Amino acid sequence: MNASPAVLEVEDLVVRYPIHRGLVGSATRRPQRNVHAVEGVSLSLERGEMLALVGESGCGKTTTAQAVLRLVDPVSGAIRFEGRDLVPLGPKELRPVRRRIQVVYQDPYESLDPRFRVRGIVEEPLLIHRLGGSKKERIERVHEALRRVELSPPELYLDRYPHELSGGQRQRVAIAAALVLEPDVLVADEPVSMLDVSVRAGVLNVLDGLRQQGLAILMITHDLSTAARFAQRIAVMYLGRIVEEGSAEAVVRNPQHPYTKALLSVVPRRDPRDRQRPQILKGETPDAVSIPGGCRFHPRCPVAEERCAVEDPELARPAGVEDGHQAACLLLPAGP
Amino acid sequence: MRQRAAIAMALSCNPRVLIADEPTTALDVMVQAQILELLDELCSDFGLALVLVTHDLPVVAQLCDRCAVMYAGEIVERGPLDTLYHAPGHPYTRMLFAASPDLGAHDETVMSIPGGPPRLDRPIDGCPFRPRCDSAFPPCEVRPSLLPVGEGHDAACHLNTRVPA
Repeated sequence: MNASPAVLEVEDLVVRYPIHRGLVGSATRRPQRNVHAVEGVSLSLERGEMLALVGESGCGKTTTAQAVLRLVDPVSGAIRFEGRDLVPLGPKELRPVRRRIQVVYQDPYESLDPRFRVRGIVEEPLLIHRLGGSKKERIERVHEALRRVELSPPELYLDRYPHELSGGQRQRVAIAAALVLEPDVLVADEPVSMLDVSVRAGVLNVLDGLRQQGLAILMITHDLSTAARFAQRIAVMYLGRIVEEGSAEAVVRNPQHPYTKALLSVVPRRDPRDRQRPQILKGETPDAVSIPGGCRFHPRCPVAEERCAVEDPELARPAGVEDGHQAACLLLPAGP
Repeated sequence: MRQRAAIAMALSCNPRVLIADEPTTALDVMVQAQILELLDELCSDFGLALVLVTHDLPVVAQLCDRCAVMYAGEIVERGPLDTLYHAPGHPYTRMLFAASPDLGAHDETVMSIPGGPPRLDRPIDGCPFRPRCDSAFPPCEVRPSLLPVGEGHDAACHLNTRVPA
């Protein structure tokens, strides 16, 4: 066991996807170009904590999650689980670690095998990892996992196929299949985006309950209202970098980075009297192949100055914010 | 960008009414804001009537003037948005708003609505929302009809006609 309270630490993670040059490109020695998906991301996650990674499509949230799961290989950086770096590990050494870092995907209509009954879906991870001993013990674990996601009594669901379940129930089954291995970390990639509003809260409350029992959850989302309500900390990503990080309360109530401010301003409020004047950024996230120089947000930033096109800001604690709240913007007064 | 192209196609024949079915559900927040702003401008600039079909109540709250809430194939409440949020005439409307997390009210518990919608291939007995409703009472065994409960505000719920004991 490591002395650090963080169960998962990511340090200076860099992930690039090479762009295929094609035959002509290779023959003419055109320079190799890359998609700079993640460019120096650091984060840490403690037991019993939910960290929400928020940002627009294409900002690198999912790539960060996939690197944590070791599904893509980082160019550089470290991913430490209980203090041990996972990046140099081979498939065989990773296997016991994989049991302890599990994932739930966005679309429960696609992530569950339609030919398996619920029993088989939740039992399969135990068979793959050769856990759970006898058949009887495995079934007991499957029951327990289903109860933890509030699919009870489990007998009612064990023999159903995914198509006989609602979206919310399917996502609960997907969570149960992750939980049956008793992981320490759960990566949830947009866990409720595909679900109907009336069942989203139920699935989120299940995740919240698991967190209170000590599970560390890395939640990828673009929904700031959900992040604000369920996460303890929020990290805002833009073009492969974290531009602001802090407690959920601090990031939502006292945003520092102009990008965070813009993102918060476009979140629709449910009270019609609370109509906002949204600060809508033009265009979409720029191409991660040619990242703008200086601050990568400057071409879309409403308050950018000349120096923003030259200097690349680092994450730092600005003046007047609580401890642990950081932002990467040149225009913020430096803190203590 | 693709959704903009789809809107341009829809507008190419100068329609008077635009029906947008979940126009922003698959988009992220910033693009959603761009598309909603565009739809709003189209309504005011060209006098276009917009019917927005969505399950995202906060989007409705920010964009629309009036709202009709459907359940199991019928309208259970309709009226001005402000009334629907602040004085809903149907428990389903109230519970739908409570199921949407809000940035402003972040310590409040987010409630899910228990159960699921009824099967529509079988006859529905009484109020279709009764099995999931937190305020069902004996009169709900009879299906309520959509009745006026205020200025431009109709709801189909027996609670509105309950005689105080």
